[in-house]
Amino acid sequence: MGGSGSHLPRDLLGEYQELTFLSKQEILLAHRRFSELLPKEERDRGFLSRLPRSKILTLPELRANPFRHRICQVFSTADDGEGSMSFEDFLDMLSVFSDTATPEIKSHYAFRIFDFDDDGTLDKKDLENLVNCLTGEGEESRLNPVEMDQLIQNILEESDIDKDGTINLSEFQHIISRSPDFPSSFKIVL
Amino acid sequence: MEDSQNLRRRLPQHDVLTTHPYFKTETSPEGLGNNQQVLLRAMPCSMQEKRLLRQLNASTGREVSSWVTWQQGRYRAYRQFQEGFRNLTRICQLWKASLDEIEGVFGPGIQSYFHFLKFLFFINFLAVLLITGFILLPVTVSYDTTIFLKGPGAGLECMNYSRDISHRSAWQHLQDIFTGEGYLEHSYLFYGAYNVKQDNNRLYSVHLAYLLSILGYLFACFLWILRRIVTSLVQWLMRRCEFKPCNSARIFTEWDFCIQSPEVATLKQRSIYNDLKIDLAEQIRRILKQQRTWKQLTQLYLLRLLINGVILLLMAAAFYCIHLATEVSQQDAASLSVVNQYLPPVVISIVNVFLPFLFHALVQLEGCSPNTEVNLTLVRCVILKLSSLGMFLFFLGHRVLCAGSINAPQCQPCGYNKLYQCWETHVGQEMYKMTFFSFLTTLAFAFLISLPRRLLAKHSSCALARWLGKEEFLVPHNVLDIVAAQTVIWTGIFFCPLLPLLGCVSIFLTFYIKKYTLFQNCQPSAQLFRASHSKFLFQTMLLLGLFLACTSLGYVISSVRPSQPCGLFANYSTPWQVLPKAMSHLPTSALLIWDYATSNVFCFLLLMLLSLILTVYISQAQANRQVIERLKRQRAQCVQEKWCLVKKLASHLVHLP
Repeated sequence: MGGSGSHLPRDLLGEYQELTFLSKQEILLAHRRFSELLPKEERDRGFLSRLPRSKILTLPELRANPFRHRICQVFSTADDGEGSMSFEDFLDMLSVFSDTATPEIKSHYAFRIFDFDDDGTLDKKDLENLVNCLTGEGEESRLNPVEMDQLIQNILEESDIDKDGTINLSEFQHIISRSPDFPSSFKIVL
Repeated sequence: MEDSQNLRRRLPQHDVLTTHPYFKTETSPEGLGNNQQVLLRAMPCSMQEKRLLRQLNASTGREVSSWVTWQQGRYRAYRQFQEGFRNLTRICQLWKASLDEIEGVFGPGIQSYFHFLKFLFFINFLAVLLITGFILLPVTVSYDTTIFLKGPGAGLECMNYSRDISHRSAWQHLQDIFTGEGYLEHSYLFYGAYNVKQDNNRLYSVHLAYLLSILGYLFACFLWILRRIVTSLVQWLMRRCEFKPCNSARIFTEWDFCIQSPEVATLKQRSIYNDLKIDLAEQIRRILKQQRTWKQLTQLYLLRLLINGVILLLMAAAFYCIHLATEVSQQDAASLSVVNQYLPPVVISIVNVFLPFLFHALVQLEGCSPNTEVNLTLVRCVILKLSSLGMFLFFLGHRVLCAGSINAPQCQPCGYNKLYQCWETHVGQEMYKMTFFSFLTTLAFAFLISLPRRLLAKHSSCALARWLGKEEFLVPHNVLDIVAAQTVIWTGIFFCPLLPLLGCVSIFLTFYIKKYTLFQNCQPSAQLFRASHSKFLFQTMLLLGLFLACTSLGYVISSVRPSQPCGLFANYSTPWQVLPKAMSHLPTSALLIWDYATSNVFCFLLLMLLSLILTVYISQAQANRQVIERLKRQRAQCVQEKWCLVKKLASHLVHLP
């Protein structure tokens, strides 16, 4: 670890191992990466300091991800809604995206990431946002409104089992459970 | 307590607190030690909240006995041990870091190719282990292989096999590495070097071991591939349209969170965009298709028939070229140059590089949807590649074993072509050359085509260079190459028992060459490739290859006269004869059981039993499908009822004073 940051106390490390899906090495690596992003004078304060969203997004693992803002938003426990992250939030995120996390918890967080307005269901607006994130933000890479309508119609027809016009968590998890690629692609490893 | 209220306020929309098993209080205190930590980790809430939940749970009056504390301690120690063990095995895992790196940059679609390489490496490694353990070690340790055998009643004509290699020059020795002649020909690399006398007093029979370990290995490969096919078949079936929500699953699971490089991310976005566009276009197309007139339909089908005819003609021409190449390469083997000897693999490669381009051009005239076009071309390429291999084997068999022309003058005395005194070794050399050549092409493609192309695309500004661009990494075609190489190894294992070792080395190096090409010279293909889809496809190709190899080997083992001056089976009329001969030494009771197990009655019983089991499974699957449909309907009705009640309630509320 050297001078890159303060050491993790042993008992805290044990607790993190208990509460997350990460191994000891992964936690230590995460701590090092997190400390590197902190400004010098805050490194000693350790676990209390928060990283602002702009700093978190400089991580190469998140830089290219179109959902990076949502990821910060979902895992941040700060009250200000700015998406700043403490070390524990950071660990929570890595735990969910780790290899060993259960598919259920992965799909749960996927749902929350895709739920852009945080209202607990995926409605048409959320789906539109989602598709735009997938195809890219530029004007030329967006689907035109007619295609978008058709696509969303298709999605709802297939997955909205109770026909209430939105996709709720259990419907979402139902679809995800049939997709074998999901656990391997919903993954971020430091 | 304020915190816990805060927590309950934050979470209700996700129904965590009521539905999660952690809160089901009926967990027995004994089981708590293990389950608690597992469940807490799997809770969808933040670290602070988890900590709080743990405190809450501890303070709700459950006394923690020393037994439970001890159990928890033990569980923790067990986990630490498990993690330590996992760390240890991680060191032994082959290519783990490389595979992770590839997945991180290019996603699991391309990674699946490298996983496949790893799988093939292990398949070959298994063969090396089996052959060293059961054949090579016993032969080198306890047998004298310098005695040359004499077949029963064979004339001199069939026995003049020269083992003299003293007159070869240094240049020839160098050539021998490529052709497998000279010193290599009489090493344990090839069948002909295993000269062991049949000895009934020994408990261990090398003849039997040779046959059984090769057959057993092929059977083990079959089972291994079948197992992988079955697991990927389930995934594949789920992705079929009738069974799965195509669009929604794609939208929700398409993004690879592993991707780190912005360029790859942009590319991925483009490919998703294209894919969605194609899908939507196909939807419209399907509607249009239903409105086609009779005349248009007949025109279309005639066109397709014509194109398929053209493709068949092209393939026939390709096979003729392979036939010619085989004939040239087999003319008087002694005086041929290395280039001539390598003619068949060269022609096969050329055919398989150029015909796919033509297929690709022709398929666009057929008026299929883009997805079908890609799949159709791929299927045609697979057929071409495997059948060109099969054709080469056929022509080789025709030439060497006189299959179909047994009355020709050079065939009559020995039962095989007398030009090839030790024909197994000769066939083994052909397979050796094929394997060697496929590795050479991989090497040449990486450094003579991909690398210059990248440099050209980077530094030149002419239109052609820009149009060519960087090479795309086409997963299916790369897999096809490696499957063909594996088929050759399987076919050659009988004639050249150490061929899998060569395969191991070649795959090991191929992994690094391909990785270098991928990272330095390639861009990922614009066409999406899903890992689950590809697994099924690769394994099926591999199974086809295995069948091809087994067919040719089965023919050789069951009905061809082994060469008389060399090899293990010189005294037998066919290699298979070893088995009945060994069986005859068994006690009578064992023979009786064997007779019964191979009789028609027993097979019939077995067949009946299997079909019974199959019927049970099929009916169960049908019943399950019906239940799913019913449950879906029920759920929709429930929600409708709920809405009805809400509406009623609303109208009543309005009327209230």
